[in-house]
Amino acid sequence: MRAPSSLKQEFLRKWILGLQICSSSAKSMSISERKKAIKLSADIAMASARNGRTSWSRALIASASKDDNHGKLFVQQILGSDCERLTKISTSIKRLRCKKILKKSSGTIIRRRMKRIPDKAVASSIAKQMVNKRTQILKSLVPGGVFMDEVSLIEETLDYILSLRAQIDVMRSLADATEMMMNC
Amino acid sequence: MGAGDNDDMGFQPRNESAMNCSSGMMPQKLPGMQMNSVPMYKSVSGPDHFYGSGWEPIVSLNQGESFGVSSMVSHNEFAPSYPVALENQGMSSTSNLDQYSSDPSFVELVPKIPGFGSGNFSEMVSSFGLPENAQIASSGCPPNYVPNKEGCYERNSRNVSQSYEDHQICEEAAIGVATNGKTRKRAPESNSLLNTDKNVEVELQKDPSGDSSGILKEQDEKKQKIEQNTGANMRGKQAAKPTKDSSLSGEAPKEYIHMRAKRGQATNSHSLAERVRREKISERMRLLQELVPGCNKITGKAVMLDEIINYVQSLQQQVEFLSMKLATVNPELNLDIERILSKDILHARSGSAATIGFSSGMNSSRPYPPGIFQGTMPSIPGANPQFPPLPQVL
Repeated sequence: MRAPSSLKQEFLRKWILGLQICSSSAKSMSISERKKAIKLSADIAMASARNGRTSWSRALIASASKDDNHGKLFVQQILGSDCERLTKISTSIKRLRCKKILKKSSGTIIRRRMKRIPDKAVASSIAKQMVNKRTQILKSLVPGGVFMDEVSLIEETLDYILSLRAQIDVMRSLADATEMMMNC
Repeated sequence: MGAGDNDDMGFQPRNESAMNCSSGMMPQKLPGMQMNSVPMYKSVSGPDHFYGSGWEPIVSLNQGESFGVSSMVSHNEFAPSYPVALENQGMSSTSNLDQYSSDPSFVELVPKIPGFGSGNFSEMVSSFGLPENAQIASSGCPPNYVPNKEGCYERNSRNVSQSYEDHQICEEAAIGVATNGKTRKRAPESNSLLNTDKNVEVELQKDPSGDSSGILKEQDEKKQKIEQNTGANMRGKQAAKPTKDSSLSGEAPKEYIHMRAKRGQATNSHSLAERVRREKISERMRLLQELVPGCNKITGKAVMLDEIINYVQSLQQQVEFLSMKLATVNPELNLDIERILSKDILHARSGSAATIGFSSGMNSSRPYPPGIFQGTMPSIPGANPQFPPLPQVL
């Protein structure tokens, strides 16, 4: 089992690797670009700390290696030898799941059903609608969430929350340390 | 989510069905699954909720068991034979719950439950299309129970249910048809103690045959009482109202997960599958409840999902903010770790002896004193989403 502190260490190590890439071109970047680079490298580092075991991490890596300017560089640098293997896994899974989504998205309109449902069941269908709406939102938040079914969505959310927490802690400590250093 | 059921939210049927159980046996009927805490019995929210519930037989029973078992402790006699790890991952009991709230590797272990469950369940569900036999529960069966019982137990290597249920299984096994609970119109009012578990029931098959036969006799008595009481439940009649009186799900032989339909719930195969799925979802929602701060008292999926969404959004915003902060503070993106560590933190922290071995993890091209960073890392509480005061960092 991974202890949280070792997760953080992993993350920090990989993140620094990633940041070293863009430090050379840092002076030419604007603040927003820097911010994006930092965030991206942090995200990739966090995802790679999972070693492809969770679905969100694979999705994150896949999306990072496709678009973006530095994304691919980060992925290559941070993942190192695993890069090829993981990106293949990520992209292949995505392609399979896209088909599933296309089939599913012939959506059901609940209003149509409501005419046939007795009143007492309307409440339950409203509740279901609410839950579905929120599930959709959650799917949009978690990387790669749109491809998951609900059970695994919740598991992925669990893991994602833990990773986000670790990421925040590391970044905060680094930011504070840097700030203190700058101020002195 | 589930469609076509009479339940809307995952949390509520638990309450309703718990209410339906006869009062006297309640404390023992409720699912003994460590990961579930039935809302009305949720005395302690947190890793130790299971032990705080005061169900002595369950506590003593499950103390040394592997985690993740859904165990039914109905009779005390049953207790020694009980729970097998649903998830045989070698996780040791309660300490795992403690780690769950902070353990990212939880996800590795959890998916094995669905793999286990869904694989078996699909097999089971596929067998449910068989026609029901009206004579399944006929009175001619009881003599067959005991001799078949051991056979049943041996066969059901992985998934075992209550012995009451097994005795139903053996009926079917004798007839050779796997049916669902529509054939049984037994409303186990006082037997609901056996049937309360909505989860997958897994049981060690080491039930000594003596116990089981003794239990069978008790169950027969109870059955008779029930039949006298209800009057509407006759043996051997097909269930005309699947939603009402039949409460036992049909069992398929061998390695199926024995689902038991609770009283008052539909028992056709689809709703059983739905129920399994819903239970899984609710389990995981409970874990999320512990993870997300301030969600201990929330029951209800929609609200809980709201909280989770807000939390994830806030975490993501914090990441954005911190990365922006780093971008402004450090215009050159050169994390000069050496300087950082050597200058400020070293001076500020007087002689903090860090214990975590950092050295291997940080072997980038730059050497730096590893001891300092070890000190910085654990100083920030892992579960704290708010900004810690600065002095804490140093």
